[in-house]
Amino acid sequence: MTRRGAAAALLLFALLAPSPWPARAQQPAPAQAAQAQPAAQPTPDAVDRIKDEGLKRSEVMSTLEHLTEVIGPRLTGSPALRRANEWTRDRLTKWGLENAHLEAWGPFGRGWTLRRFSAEAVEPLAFPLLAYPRAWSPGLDAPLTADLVVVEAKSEEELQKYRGQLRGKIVLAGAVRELRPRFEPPATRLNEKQLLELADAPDPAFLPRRPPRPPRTPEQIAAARFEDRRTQFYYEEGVALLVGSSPAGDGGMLQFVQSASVPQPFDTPFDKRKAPWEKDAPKLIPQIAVSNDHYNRLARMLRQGERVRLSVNLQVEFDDADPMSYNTVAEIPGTDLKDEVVMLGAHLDSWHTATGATDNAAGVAVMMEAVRILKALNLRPRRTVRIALWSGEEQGLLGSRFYVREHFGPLPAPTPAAAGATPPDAAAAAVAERADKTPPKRDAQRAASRTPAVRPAPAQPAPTPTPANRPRFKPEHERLSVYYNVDSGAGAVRGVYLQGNEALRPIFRRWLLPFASLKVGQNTYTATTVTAANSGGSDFLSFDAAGLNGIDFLQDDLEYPTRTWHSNQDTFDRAVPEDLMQAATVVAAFVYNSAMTDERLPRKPFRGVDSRQ
Amino acid sequence: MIPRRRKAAALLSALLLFANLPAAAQTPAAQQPAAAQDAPPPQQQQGARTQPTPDPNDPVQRIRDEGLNRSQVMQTLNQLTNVIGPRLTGSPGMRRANEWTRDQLTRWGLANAKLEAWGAFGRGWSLRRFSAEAVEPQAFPLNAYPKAWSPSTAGPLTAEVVYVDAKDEQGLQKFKGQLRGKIVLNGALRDPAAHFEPEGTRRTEKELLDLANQPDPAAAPPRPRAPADARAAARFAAAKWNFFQDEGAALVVDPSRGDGGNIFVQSATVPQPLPADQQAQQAVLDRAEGAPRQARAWDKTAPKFAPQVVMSIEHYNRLARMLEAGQRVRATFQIEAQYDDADPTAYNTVAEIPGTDLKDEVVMLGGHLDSWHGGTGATDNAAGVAVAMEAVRILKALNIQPRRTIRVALWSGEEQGLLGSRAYVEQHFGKLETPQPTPRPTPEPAAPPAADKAQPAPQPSPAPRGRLLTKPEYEKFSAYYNLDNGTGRIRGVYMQGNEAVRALFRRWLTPFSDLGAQTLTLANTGSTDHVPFDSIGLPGFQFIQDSVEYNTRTHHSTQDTYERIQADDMKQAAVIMAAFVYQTAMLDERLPRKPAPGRAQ
Repeated sequence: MTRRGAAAALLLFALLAPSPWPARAQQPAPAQAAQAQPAAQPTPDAVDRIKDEGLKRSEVMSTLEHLTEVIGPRLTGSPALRRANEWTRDRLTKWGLENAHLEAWGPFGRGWTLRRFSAEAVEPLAFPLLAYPRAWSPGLDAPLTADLVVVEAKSEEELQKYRGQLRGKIVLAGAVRELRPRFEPPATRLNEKQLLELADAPDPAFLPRRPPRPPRTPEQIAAARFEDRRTQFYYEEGVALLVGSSPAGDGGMLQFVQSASVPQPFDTPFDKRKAPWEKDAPKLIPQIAVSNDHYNRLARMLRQGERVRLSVNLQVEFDDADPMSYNTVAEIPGTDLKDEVVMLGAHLDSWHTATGATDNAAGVAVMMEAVRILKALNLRPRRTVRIALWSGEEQGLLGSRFYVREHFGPLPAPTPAAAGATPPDAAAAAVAERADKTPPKRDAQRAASRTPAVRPAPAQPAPTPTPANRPRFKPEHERLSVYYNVDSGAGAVRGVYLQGNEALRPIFRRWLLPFASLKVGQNTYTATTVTAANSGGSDFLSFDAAGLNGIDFLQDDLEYPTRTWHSNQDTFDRAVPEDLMQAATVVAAFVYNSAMTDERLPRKPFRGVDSRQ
Repeated sequence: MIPRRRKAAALLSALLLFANLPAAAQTPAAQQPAAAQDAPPPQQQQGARTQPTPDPNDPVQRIRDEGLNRSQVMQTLNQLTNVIGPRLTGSPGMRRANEWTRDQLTRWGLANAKLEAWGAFGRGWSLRRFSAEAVEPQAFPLNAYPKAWSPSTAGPLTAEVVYVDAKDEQGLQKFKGQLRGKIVLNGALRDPAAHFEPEGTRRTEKELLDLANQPDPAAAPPRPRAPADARAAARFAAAKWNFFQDEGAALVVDPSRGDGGNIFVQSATVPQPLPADQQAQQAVLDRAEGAPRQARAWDKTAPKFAPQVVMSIEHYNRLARMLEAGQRVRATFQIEAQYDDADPTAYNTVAEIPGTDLKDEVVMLGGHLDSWHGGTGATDNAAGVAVAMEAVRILKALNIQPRRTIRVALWSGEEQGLLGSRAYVEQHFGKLETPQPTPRPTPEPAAPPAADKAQPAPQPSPAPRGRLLTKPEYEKFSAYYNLDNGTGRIRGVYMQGNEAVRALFRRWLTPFSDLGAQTLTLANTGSTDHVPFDSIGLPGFQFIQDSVEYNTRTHHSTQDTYERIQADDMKQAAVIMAAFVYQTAMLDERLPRKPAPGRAQ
């Protein structure tokens, strides 16, 4: 169908099939005689009261502070994540939510916690290295002081020259990155041009599919093979420690230092790839990444013929007590439509080099604040409101995918190893890029465009369903109205992604009206943009892939892509309180409105489980 | 390969020459500066394209060609930063840099390359080991850096962390008896704002226009005295350091300014009593000129004090917030530092290209070789050193025979108060005899140098403070050119109130208008090694430079590394510095001077 055809169809839809929900949503609900319980009456000034509670008595920053400064980083499987699970459960209970519990998924794999870490150059001159271990890296038996060497080989023959010379040594295994001055501001908010592009975005279902990645050239295959061989050589030769560079960032910033690389052929199919958190993963060489400033300095010293020695202490603790991981789930029970559910969520897990403040304690704090607001106001929703705080998101949306399969069916369950099988998002891409050679896909896209508008849909439904992929769903599938997600940093909400579901546009448009201009402290926020575009990279995709409404909010970047995303700078300091307060009120209003409509929110036509899912 | 390429170049030159004979005649002839004196400077909008094609035999064009096409400035920088590393005054790193620059200048054919002692400085200090970690209730590496001349810890120090957020002396009292053996977080946490402005900038037309329109600095009002609240803050800071020392704190942690994992770190603070005399005390608190000299961390006789580090704001805040949330936080620090008392003497590296008919007269250029210790002192000031060295390399490579002797001086002790250049000027040229003790500039400027602000800060009143005593070399001196504002390209020159050089400088900048260097400002700039020359009436100049990330990221920080250096900017700066030095060396007369202080006119 052409673009013009799509527009015409849209117009026809709007004329002939006006949605009944938006018109009624904020009117007193008609009497529902058939219901066992009397229908709760929508409170006429509910949104005003939500704003009042969310802006004047906000607790979003104290939630965020506890998650980041007290609990700290929350790597999936780690004891800290379990603490976060328990604390969020208890806090939600304290606020009056019901059925707060940890819901197991898995098995995931091993927990991993840093016990001690320091890294220094000690010869020919001494300076502390700004560095972090990769997650699930093994520790060192004892503090290691050894020569730093770089293996400058381009062929097997050249590799053989290092035979017998690497035992017990530290190998500099990365790339010197040219670093540029920061002539662009790292913090940005969406401007009118970007918002207009989003507002004008076409239905992603009718966009041409992204062309498949061109096959590797023979040269690329040879180069990748040789890199595999080089890695294998490090293992054969008994290298004591691998020192890589940070995949992005400069100065005091390391970005995308994620999990340790497992040696395996570069063309291993994704569902066969080993992850370092698996209990039967091969024994790894300990791995750390140093900042690009320091990496380059070390590399340049070696190039000048200096003999460089490093001293590294790395102690870690693996935790195999419980291979299961958990999502925190809690509810505000509904009234006349209590069997139906409106969900909201964000992921509680994080990477380990900072405290995961913008990725995604911010989203968790916003979602928790949204339900706190509803409880504090004692607003009685018609549908049950359920908050879910996921884990395993960073390893491939594992917690939410498992949850969706368990509750709604029939999403193929990913085993942790298969998490990256078909990268639906940045997180899975990150898994795919375990070798850390390139930053995750979304980063590349965002860095290239700095415009979320042009983030292509990572998982587009195939336009034509086939009977073969029309699955059977579980009964709960019919009863879920919508799932809302926040996971793009600590920026204010500027609008909503429809994820291709045009039927939601008039509803969301109206729900956004009270947020056209919201003054919070010194800032005034405009949340008006409804875009047909797909968002990507987070847990709403698990719902979207099962034909459910999985909706992501459009957020200002602030410093998310440039400074905090998967970086050691992802700390509490990067959060702007006013932005999070605004986001919590918008989310609370959307959740409340969704819980009060007469009908479930309309869904887009289910086009079948994407063959890539 | 080489002969063939040279032949091709010669052919090209011949063609260019042939094609542009009439135009070439209009090019200011560098060898005869007086001839072109009246030529109006080209308009700004005239780019390179509309200018006459340069005469390849013009020395300035040859300088440009050598400096832009066969530059070695980045190799010099690589050696200074990545191989030699930080160059703290008095340290072995500094001495290695002195020796390497002397030898490299000799290799390039300069004469009389030597280390010139400028006096007894104090103790050397170098870092042997440093690590910092939070160990309880969670373990994470801490991004911190010891202050220069901090003593070592006795082995790894593992202790409880205490957050001292006292805002006045009263507030300190509740920590009485609480700090012994503890790690102290010194001062309130600070919320870093999101960066909606870029950290890297180049000078805008508006800034340059403001500079171009600056009045004579002699007419500017004298710098106001420190306001009362600044004095109170300084008094509280002094009290706090004494309190920490008296209470037996094991280690003191300052929060760094800046953010993003950056650490701005200089020398340790010596806890010591303020002078009892009221007036002397105020002078110390105001950092006034002529204030009684307090002990510095590098003084061998300085009282003993606890180790000191600076921590990135992200980690400082995290520790402070953990403590505020009622957690018990323990951290481990290991500092192993080595003092070096073998030779208290410090040195400048000096070398020359001897002159010809006016060889007794001298044109100088330089930058400071010493640095702080947190990074590798790349923009402050290996950049200036590499540019000055490259400028004389270019002149030697072209075998240019200057009329006056060209002397490059690479200073040390700059970061501790222009010590090397002050001593040099006093030994060679003269000094102002002052009734008061020797004025010393503040060794720890809290703010970035005024040179990088669009509006230069008012300068201290140039009123003579004493009698000028000169040496014979004073009359043989023409000018000193300095570069010390980071990696940014040259955009013009600060004339330091010397209107008489405007016409010459305007003409000398003309060939570089396409490289963005054309602004002349009458304004003063301060804080670096041209000041000792200027302060006794010798023409000492500092170039206007683009900031790039100097003020925001690199000045005295752990991020002052080779990675921040912009190669094209460095090449441009070297070419312009070489041209200025060359032009100055070729003039019939010494560069005109402004009226000297302390001398009957």
